[in-house]
Amino acid sequence: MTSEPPAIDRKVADLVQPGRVHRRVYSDAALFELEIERIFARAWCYVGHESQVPEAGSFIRASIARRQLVVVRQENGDIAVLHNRCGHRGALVVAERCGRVRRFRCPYHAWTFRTNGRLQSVPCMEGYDETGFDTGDPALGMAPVARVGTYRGFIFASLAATGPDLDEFLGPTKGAIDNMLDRAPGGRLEVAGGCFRVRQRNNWKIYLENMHDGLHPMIVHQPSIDPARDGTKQQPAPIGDSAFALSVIAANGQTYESMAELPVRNSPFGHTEMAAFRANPATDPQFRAYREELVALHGAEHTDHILSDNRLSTMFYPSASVQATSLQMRVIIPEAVDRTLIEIWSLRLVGAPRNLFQRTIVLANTAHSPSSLIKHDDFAIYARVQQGLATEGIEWIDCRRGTNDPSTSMSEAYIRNQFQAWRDYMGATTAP
Amino acid sequence: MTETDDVASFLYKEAELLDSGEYDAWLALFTHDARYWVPSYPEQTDPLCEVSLFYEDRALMHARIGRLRHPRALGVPVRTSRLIGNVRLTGHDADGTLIVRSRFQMIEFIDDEQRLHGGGITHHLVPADDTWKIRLKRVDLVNAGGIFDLLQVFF
Repeated sequence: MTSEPPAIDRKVADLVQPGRVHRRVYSDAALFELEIERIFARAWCYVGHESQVPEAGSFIRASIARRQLVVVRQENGDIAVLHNRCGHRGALVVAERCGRVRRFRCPYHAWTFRTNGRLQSVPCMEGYDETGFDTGDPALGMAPVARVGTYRGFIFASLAATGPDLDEFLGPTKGAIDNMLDRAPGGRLEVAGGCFRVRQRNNWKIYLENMHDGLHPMIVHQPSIDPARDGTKQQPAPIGDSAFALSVIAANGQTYESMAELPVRNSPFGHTEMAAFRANPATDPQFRAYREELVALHGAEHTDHILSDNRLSTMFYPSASVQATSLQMRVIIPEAVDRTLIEIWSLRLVGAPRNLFQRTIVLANTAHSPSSLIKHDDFAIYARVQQGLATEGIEWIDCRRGTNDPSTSMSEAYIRNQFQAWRDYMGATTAP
Repeated sequence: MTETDDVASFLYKEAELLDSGEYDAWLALFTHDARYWVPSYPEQTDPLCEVSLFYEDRALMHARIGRLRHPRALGVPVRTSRLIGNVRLTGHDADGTLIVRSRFQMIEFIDDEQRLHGGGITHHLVPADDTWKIRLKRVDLVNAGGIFDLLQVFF
């Protein structure tokens, strides 16, 4: 005899239907709490890159499903992801965003922890006489999360002990990481150039559901496309970095017809890969020298294949999206039903000329800074969608666009793919 | 009038042009090779290999102004009111460029919400006729390195 699923599960199953989604999926705080536990606490979430923890004891802070975590390199080279919390009074052990330690030390009562999270020492131990207190008790340590996996330097963690392994989870989206590494003459990537942290006034899904939308750019971004196009016509003509920045902004002005030719490919677990238009700047002398280095590594034919593999963005649902060609990693950190923190990190191709990385920085400034001319209109739209979906009266929104042709950026197939994953994560009737 | 008084008047005029939305007149205060820079963290020295909150030359400043005036731009107009103080002349470059430090507080009203910004400003001023042109305006926000809402207008 099967038991009746709890009421909230029946509700969840009903809220996402073929071609339509109930507004409460974006505006109900109780559902958001369930998403945290069932999606973010179950999926593999991106927590950082190995280059950010280069030596034993190097750490960065991270967050999954609102748990405060610390990613730390071990003596043996492994990477641990620990709960950033002291077993004594519960204080956050590490407040710095990154650093290097021999051991972690809680600033409250000086409990110390090994970099593997185990409790090392406690002052005034005699206070625990006859209590059975044992420093070897894992429950007193900074507990490691259930699973940590890396794919070619990219660190993911899962709070769930069971589920697909990282390789199966990433599936074809690994191609985006492979392509970035193929383009690095040194065969490595590193996180470099700092980070933007920007807060959105919208549900996390509204951001993800805009990621591969080829219909909105020429509408929403007209206020930046027009002045960018005007700017490229100014005399004297903008050169160098600003010409590139203006071209990035103006590139949003593609026609519907060209967006309908931009390939988008969906895969299991809610992931999506979207191609890019922009070709690499093959005329630049530094770029030609860089290409020659790749040719020495890969041969001419394979190098041209690597460099022509233009990828606008690849979604690792639900926690991150990488822009492989422009070398940006966007990390999605849900804070509340209507509040989402986004971190944007730049990646450097080790061994590539300096001017290529400067382009990456110009792109980050142009497309992802809090001052980005592109983002102003995006974020305003996300906030409007949030406001509209918080309004009762009309209960459903439609996501049927492009049902016949799900393979281009003019289709909402990627939204339907995200909701397929959403249902799979949310629909389970047992708590994680 | 001391030189400090003259420079302070120049900075007040610049602030007033921004608060009143007279962006063309404001942009005309800058040299052709000028940069407007808001570093992403305190003490940042490299705007080329590290991200910045703003790092704009005249072409990009012009584009920002174009967007702020665009009839379909969302979340505009942004109203601002700023106070400039602690104006200090801190030195001259070898080429006669005057380096000026000041402090500012700016109230921004956007989407029915009032926000407060503040920090230090460094101007590099080049003598031009009987006034100056701005070659560099660097704004070090007190919350640089923090979490940001969108920043649409110049500080």
